[in-house]
Parts: sequence; structure tokens; C-alpha cells
Amino acid sequence: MNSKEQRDLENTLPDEISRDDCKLELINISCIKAECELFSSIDAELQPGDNLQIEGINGSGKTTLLRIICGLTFPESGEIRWNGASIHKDRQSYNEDLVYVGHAHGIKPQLTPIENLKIEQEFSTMDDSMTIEEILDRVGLFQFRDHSCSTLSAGQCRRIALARLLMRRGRLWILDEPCSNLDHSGFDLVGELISSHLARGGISIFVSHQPIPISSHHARAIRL
Amino acid sequence: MSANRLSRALAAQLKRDLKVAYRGKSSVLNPIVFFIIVTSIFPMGIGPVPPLLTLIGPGVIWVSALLATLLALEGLFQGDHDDGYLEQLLLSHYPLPLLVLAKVGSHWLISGLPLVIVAPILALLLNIDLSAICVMILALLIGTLTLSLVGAVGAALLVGTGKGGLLLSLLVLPLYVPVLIFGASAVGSATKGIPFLGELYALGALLALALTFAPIAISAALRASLD
Repeated sequence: MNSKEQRDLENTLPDEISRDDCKLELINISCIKAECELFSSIDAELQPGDNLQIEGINGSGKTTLLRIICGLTFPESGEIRWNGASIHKDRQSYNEDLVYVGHAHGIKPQLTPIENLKIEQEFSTMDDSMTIEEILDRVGLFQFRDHSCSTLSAGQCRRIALARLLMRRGRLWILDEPCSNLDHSGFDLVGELISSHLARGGISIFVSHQPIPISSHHARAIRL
Repeated sequence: MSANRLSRALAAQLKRDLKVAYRGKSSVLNPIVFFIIVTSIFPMGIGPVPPLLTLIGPGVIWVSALLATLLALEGLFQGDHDDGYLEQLLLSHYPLPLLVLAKVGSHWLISGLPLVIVAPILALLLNIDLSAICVMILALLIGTLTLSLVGAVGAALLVGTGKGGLLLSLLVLPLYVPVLIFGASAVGSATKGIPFLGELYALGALLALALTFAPIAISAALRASLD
């Protein structure tokens, strides 16, 4: 990344992720699906600036683990703690910190990118440093801002989903195959977004089959 | 989280649902067209016997309104489930019961309110007099809201299973019966000129009950369905 891009990126991300201590703990997580054990005894502790990549073959339970960490699915045993408290006890404050980009994009095909992000704006603990137009420009969709999302390609929809990362002030990013359908510049975009999130004291967890270019000293991986 | 931000989020959610429904026109019209067709072919099938039509009219309107509501239910959460929006809703930091209440509200505006608006015209076909039509509008207004709320619980339970249709009807219809009985009998009493307020109060009580408990039940059902 050259210095101009670096500068652009610094301008595009909220610099107010609070530097308070945040800590995510995975304690002895196990999961059984259809009477078959997907994984067991998963432990991890993530501090600000940490990155965790989850690897594994198809069907090994990567998405399930991400959904468990989000709190969408309950594990067979074990507990996820955010800042020391179980995520199911204080869901509201956990959800305020969490940004999840799942398999499905979470955008409405009938609406335009701008309309989709406007809803997002009302729903997030917003970062107001960028306008929606600037965010769309950042993810490379400015000229498609008024097109219906149903006419956009899968990769372009992915970029709208990724724009969510720029809109929220969440300290914990959970990304399920963030690079699916993306082109080379999309890979770089994801890498830059995650790198600067980590540099600013965020935590990220992602599943990806392709290597994502991330500059972090605290990158770890779990293999399922 | 301020109340102001919360109400803005709820309003945005409502507006978004209406916009999505408006742009996906055809499916939105299904329930109302169904309601109009069923209600208007009854007089043709039964024959032009005004006293008979007056007698069965309230029941016909209520049964078709109930089935039309059922028809619309399946789509309530399905689209949001398919495009991943439901996951995002569950992960929002706003209270889920209020968010689903806004969703049910928009669903009612799309599928319930149109029934209430066209029902008076159809009531004329069934020889229901003007004073009873006023009662019918009020009863339908309260009743369709209750039907939407109660139906949403069933829709939330079955979302993502791919087993809507028949199972949803079986699940929801028993809960619809009290609304049907009180609604039809309120209008029936009004056509006969006997007191009808009791039935309306009962409908109101059912709505209060549904408003209180349905959002919590819908939230729990959605969390269970997406688990």
C-alpha cells in the first residue's frame, strides 16, 4: 500500500474506536450438529489489535463457530465472554460493539445501495466522520449508488455489506468469507480495512479460504 | 441509547419495509385480490336472496379476511431471512421485540389495512346495512391487527424451515378462531340491531393481549429459528 492510499484509508476509518480494554474470551466451546461433533474444547482470548483466522475444510463448522461467537447460535457447551461478561447476559452492549458480515449480505435487493446504507445508519452506533456517499466511494460503488441492488453483481453486493464496517464504531468484527465474490482490488480493500481496524485497537475474527493481505503482529489461526 | 434514536430506527425500519413491498408489487397484491374475489363470488354462488346474504355476510367477510391474512403471513420474515437481514436484526443493539413490532406494523399496513378499506364496498354486495358496516370497519381494524400479531408468531417459528403453507395454517388457525368468532358476531349483532359492544370489547382485549405478548414470543421464536 503506498503512502497516499494509507492516508486515504486513515481518513476513511473512524478514529474514535475507544481504546478501553476490550477482551473476547472463548471458553471451552464445543458444538454438536445432527449428532456429530463439529468441534470441541475451543479456547481463545483476544485483546485489542488481535486477529483470529478460522481455518478448516468445508463443513468443518467455521460458520457455526462464527455464529456462536456472534451469539446467534448456542454452543453445546462453553461460553463466550465479552469484557468478562457472558454475551447472552448483556446482549445489548455486546451487539453495540459487534459488526457481523455473514454469508448472506444482509441487504435488500429491491433497494439501492444508498437506501440500504441509510437504514444501516439508523441502526448502528454511527460513526459520523464519513457521509454515505464517501463510504460508497471508498468501497468503489459510488457510480452505482442509485441502481437497484438486484441489478448489481454478487461482488458489488459484497462491497455494500463491507461498507457496514465503515459505518459502525464496533470494536469486534466478525467476517464470514469477506472476500467471496470479490476481485483483486476487493481483496486489497478487505485487507486494508482489517489492518487499520487492528491498528486502531479493534479485534477481528474471520473465515477465509484465500489469504487476505493483513499487516498485523497479532495474527493467530484456529484450525477446525 | 436514547428514545429518540430508537424511534428513528423503528421509523426507518417501517419505511424500509413499505418501500421493499412497494417495489415488489405483485406479491403484495395477492391477499387483497384473494379477499375481493372470494367475497364477491359468494353472492353469485348463493343467489340473489337479500335476507340470506345479510345473514351470512359478516361470516363470509371475516372468513375471507382471515384466509387473506394467512396468505400474506408466509412472506413476513422469509425475504429477510433469505437475504440475511434477519441476522442483522437479531444482532442489533435495539430491543428485538420493538423491532419486530415495527415489522409486524408494516406488514399490517401492507396486508391488513387494505382489507379494512375495501371491506365496506364488498359488504354492500352482501346486503349489509350502513350502520353495521361502521361496526364492521371498527371490528376489522382491531381484528386484523390481532391476526397479524398472532400470525407473526407462527411465521417466526417456521421461518427458514421451508415448511410454511399448510403447517403455518395448522399452527395459527386455532389461535385465529376467537378473533373470528367475536369479529363475525359483532357485525352479525349489528345487522340484527342487537347490542354489539361486548364483542368489540372482547376483540379489544384480544388485541391488548396480543400486543403485549406477541412481540416477545416473536423475538424468542426468531432466535430459536435462526439457532
